[in-house]
Amino acid sequence: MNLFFQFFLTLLIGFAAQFFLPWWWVIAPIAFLIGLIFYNTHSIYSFLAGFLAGLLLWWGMSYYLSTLNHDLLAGRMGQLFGGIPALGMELITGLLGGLLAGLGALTANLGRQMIKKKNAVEAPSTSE
Amino acid sequence: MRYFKFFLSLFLSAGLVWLLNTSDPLGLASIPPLGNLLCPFTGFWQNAEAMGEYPAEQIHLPGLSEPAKVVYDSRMVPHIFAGNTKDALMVQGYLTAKFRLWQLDMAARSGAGRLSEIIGDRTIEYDRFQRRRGLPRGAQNALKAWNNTPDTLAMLLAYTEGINAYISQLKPRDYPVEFKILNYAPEPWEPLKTALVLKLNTALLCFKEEDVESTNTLNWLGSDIFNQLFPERPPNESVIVPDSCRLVDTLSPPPSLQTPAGTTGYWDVPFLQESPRDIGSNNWAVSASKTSSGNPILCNDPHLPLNLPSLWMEIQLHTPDMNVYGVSLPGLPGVVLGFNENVAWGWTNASHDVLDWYQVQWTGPDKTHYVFDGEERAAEQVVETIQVKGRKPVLDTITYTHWGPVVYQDRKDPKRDLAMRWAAIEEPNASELGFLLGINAAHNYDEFQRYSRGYHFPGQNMVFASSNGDIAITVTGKYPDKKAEQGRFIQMGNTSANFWTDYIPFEELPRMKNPVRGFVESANQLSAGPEYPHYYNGKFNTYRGRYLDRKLAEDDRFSLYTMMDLQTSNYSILAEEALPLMLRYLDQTHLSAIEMGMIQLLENWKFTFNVDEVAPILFDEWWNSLDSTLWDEFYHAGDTLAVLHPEKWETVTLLRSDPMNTFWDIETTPERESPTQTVTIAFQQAIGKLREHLGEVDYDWGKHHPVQINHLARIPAFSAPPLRAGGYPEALNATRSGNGPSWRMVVEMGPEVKAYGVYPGGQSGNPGSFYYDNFLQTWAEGLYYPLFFMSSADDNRQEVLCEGAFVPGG
Repeated sequence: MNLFFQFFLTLLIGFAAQFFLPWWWVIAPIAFLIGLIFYNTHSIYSFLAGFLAGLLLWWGMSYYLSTLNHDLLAGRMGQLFGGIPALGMELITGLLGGLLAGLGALTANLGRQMIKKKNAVEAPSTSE
Repeated sequence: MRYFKFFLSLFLSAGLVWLLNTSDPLGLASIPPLGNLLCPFTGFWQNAEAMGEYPAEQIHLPGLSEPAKVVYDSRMVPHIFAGNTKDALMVQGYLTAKFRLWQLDMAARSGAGRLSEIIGDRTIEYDRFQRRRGLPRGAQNALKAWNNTPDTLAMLLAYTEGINAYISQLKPRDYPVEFKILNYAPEPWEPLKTALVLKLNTALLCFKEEDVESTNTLNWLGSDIFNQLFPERPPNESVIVPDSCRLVDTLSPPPSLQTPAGTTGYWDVPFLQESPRDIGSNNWAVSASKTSSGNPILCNDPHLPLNLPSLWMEIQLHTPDMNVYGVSLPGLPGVVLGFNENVAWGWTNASHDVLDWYQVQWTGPDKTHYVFDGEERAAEQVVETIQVKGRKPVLDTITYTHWGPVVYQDRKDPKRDLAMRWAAIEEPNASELGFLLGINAAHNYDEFQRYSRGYHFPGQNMVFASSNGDIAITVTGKYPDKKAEQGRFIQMGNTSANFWTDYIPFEELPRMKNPVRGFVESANQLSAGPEYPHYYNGKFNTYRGRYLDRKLAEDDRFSLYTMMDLQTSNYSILAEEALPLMLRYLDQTHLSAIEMGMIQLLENWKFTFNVDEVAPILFDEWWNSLDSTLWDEFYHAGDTLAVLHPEKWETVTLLRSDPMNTFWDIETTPERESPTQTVTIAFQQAIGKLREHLGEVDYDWGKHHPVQINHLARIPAFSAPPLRAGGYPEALNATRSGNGPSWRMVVEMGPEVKAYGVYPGGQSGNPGSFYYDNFLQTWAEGLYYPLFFMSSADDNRQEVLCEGAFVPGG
C-alpha cells in the first residue's frame, strides 16, 4: 500500500510540477523528495515506485500528445534518431522518465537507510 | 557500504541529469540536451499539433489601434480584417511568427552571416562570404535610407511589433522544434532584420556575374572564337519589350570603355557561390480580347530554390483602404506577389548585370594602399567577428576599396586582388520601403507605376493586369547606366573613369502597355531589342520565352483553365529543335534492337517532359552526354581555370549549321571526330548510363528525375520524400530537384476577381503540423487550389476552419 501511495504521489505531483519546472526537476528531485517520505526496507521497491511513476508520466504524456498528432512528429523525430518508429520514441521517452524518477526515489531511500543506520539500534535490514 | 550505495546512487542520478542536460556531452556530434528534447512536457512532443483542434484565440496586442479579426480558411490561410494598414501589418507580423518563427530567425541569420553561432564550424565559410560580399552592410545602408520616411517606417515597426508580441508570450516549451534541436532561443525581431531578409533574397536573384569566367575565356580562346561562341545576344532571341527604343529620346549607342575589355589576364580566384544557374520564372498577362470571359488574365510562377518551410506564405490583408491577397515573404510586411480588387501583378527576374569586379593594384605586400587615378589611396580595413558555437570566435579582416570590398584574393599574384562593386548593397532611395505596400493598395496602372519607381533590387520584370482592362509589363529596378561592355569582363580599378555613376532613368526602362498583340510576357529573356541605347549584359534564357510568345499568339479564347495548362506545360522548344538534328546525325548502322527501339521512342516523342514518359530520359541523358563530348575542351579547361560554358542554343547552332566547327573534335582521341561520330558516341554513352534501368518496368521520367524538397537546415527527417513531378528547366514548368515553380498563380481580373494558386509546401513551418507539407502533392501533380479572396469577414462562399480575435491593450 505504501508503495502504491509513493507511486501515486510521485505521478501526481510530478505531473503538476512538470508544467512549471524544467524537465529534470520533475522527475529526479520530486521523486527524491517523495522518496524521503516513504521508507522501504528494500530499496528496490523505492526504485520500482519511482520508476513506474516516471514511466507512466512520460510515456502517458507522450502517448497522449502523439495520438492526437497521429504520430506525425514522433515518426519524423524517430527518423532523426536513426529510424525508430513512433511507438519506440514513446517507449524511450517513458523509460527515460522511469529511470530518472527511479534513481531519484532510490537515492532517497538509500539516504534514509544511511541516516537510520547511523543512529540505529535495530538489526540491519536484509541487504538488497 | 551504505554510504557507498547512497553516494553511488546520488552520483548516478546527478550524472544522468547532467548528461541529458548537456549539449553534445561526449563531443561526438552536434547533439542537443536530450532530456529537454525528449521530455513530453518541454520537448519535441509539445510541437506535435493535435489534428482537427482549432481553439478560438483571443490575443492581446498592445499596439493595436482597434480590434482586428483573422479567419483561417480550410488550407490554413489567414485572412486578416483590420481597421487600418498598420493594424493589419501588426497582425501579419504576429501570424508570420506563429507559423514561421524559426524560418524568420534563419533568414535574418543567413543574411547577417551569423549561422555559425547556432550551427558551429560548418557554416564559418558561409558566414564569412555573406559578410565579405556586404549583405550586413547593405542592410545597414537600406535602414539608413528607410529612416528618412517615418510614415512607411512606422508600418515596418508595426510588423516588427507583431512578431515580437508573439515571441514574448512564448515559453521555452512553445519554441519551434528546430530551436529545441539546435538548442537556442529566438531573438526579438528588428527592422534591420527585415533589411537583411531583403538583401538575402536580393543575393539569391542578382548576385550574378561571369566577369572572371569571361575574362579567362577571352584570354584562352582569343576574341574571334570568344565572340563567335559567346555573343551578347543569342540568335532566335525572344525579347520582352521588342520596341523599347521608342522610350528613349536619343538613340546614340552607349560610350566605349577607356581600357579595352579583358586586358587584366587570367584570374585564379576561389569559386564564388553565385545565384543558382537555371533559375528563372515565367509571367504573362493577356488582354480582355484574348479570353473567353472578356476579362484580362495574369499568370506568374517564380522559379526558386524549393525548401521546407516554403519561401512563401499565403495571406490576405483586408482594411477599409486595401484588400490584397497573395504570397508574402516571411520577414517583409505586405504581399509580394498577388492581387487586390483592382490590380494583379507578378514578377520574373531581370538578369541585368549589377555586379562588377575591378582589379585593385596594391602598392605593397601589406595591401593597405592601392593605385587610383595615379595616386596612392588607403584602403579601409574592418575586422568582422564571427561567433562560432562550441569554439572561439573567428576574426576576418575585410578590406574596402572605394569600389567596394575585396571579396577574395588572387591566389597567384600578391600585388593584385579583385574588388567588388554590387549596386544592390549601396544606399537605396528612401522610397524603397514604401513600394510593396504602395502596389498592394494600388487602384490602377498609374498608381502601380508611381510606386514601382521606388523599387530597386533584385531587378524584376513586373507584369500587370487590372480589372479595368489594362495589361502591362515593366522592367523595374535600379540598373547602372553602363558603357559598352562595362562589367562584362574584369575592369581596371586604377582609374575613376571605369566607375559607373548614373542609373537608367525609370522612364527609359523597357515597358509596354496594352500592346496590339494582346499579351505581355517574360521568362528571363532579354528585356529590350538591339537598338535600345542603354547597355545590357547578363544571363538570359530564350526557350521558355519563345514558347510563351508562340502559345500566347496562337489562341484568343483563353480561360483560367487553359492558362493553368500552359503554366504547367512540360513542352520544350529545346528538345523540339535539338532532337531532330541529333537523330539526323546519329549513325544507326551498328545499333542493337533495344537501341533501335529507343530511337523509335524518340522519333514518336512530342517533346514533353511528362512524368510518365520514357523518351524524356533518353533525350536528357543523350543531351547531357552530347554537351560533355562536344564541349569537352571546356570541361578540361574548367579543371584548372574558371571558364564560361557554351549555352544550350550554341549546341543547337552547331548541330544545325556548323558541321566543320573544330569543337566537334574530342580532345582525348587521336583522330578528328565528325558531328556524326560525336553525336553517336554521346548516344552510346547515354545508353551505357541507362543500362542498369533498361529492364525496369516502370522506369519513367518521374522516377529518373525525382524532385527533392529539403528542410532549410537539411534535416532529412523534416524534408519531403522525393516527389514525382514532370518538368524540365527549358520547359515552362521548369521543375527539377530542389528548384522550380515556387508559387503558381493564375488570376482573372473581372468585376469579381477569380484566382487559383499553389506552392510546394504548407502554411505552417512546424514539421509536427498537418499544414507543413499538405500542398506538395497538389503542386507535384500540376493542380491548383481556388484562392478564397474574401470580400468581408462574413464571406461564406468557402469553408473556414476557425477564427481568431486580436484586441488592443495588454
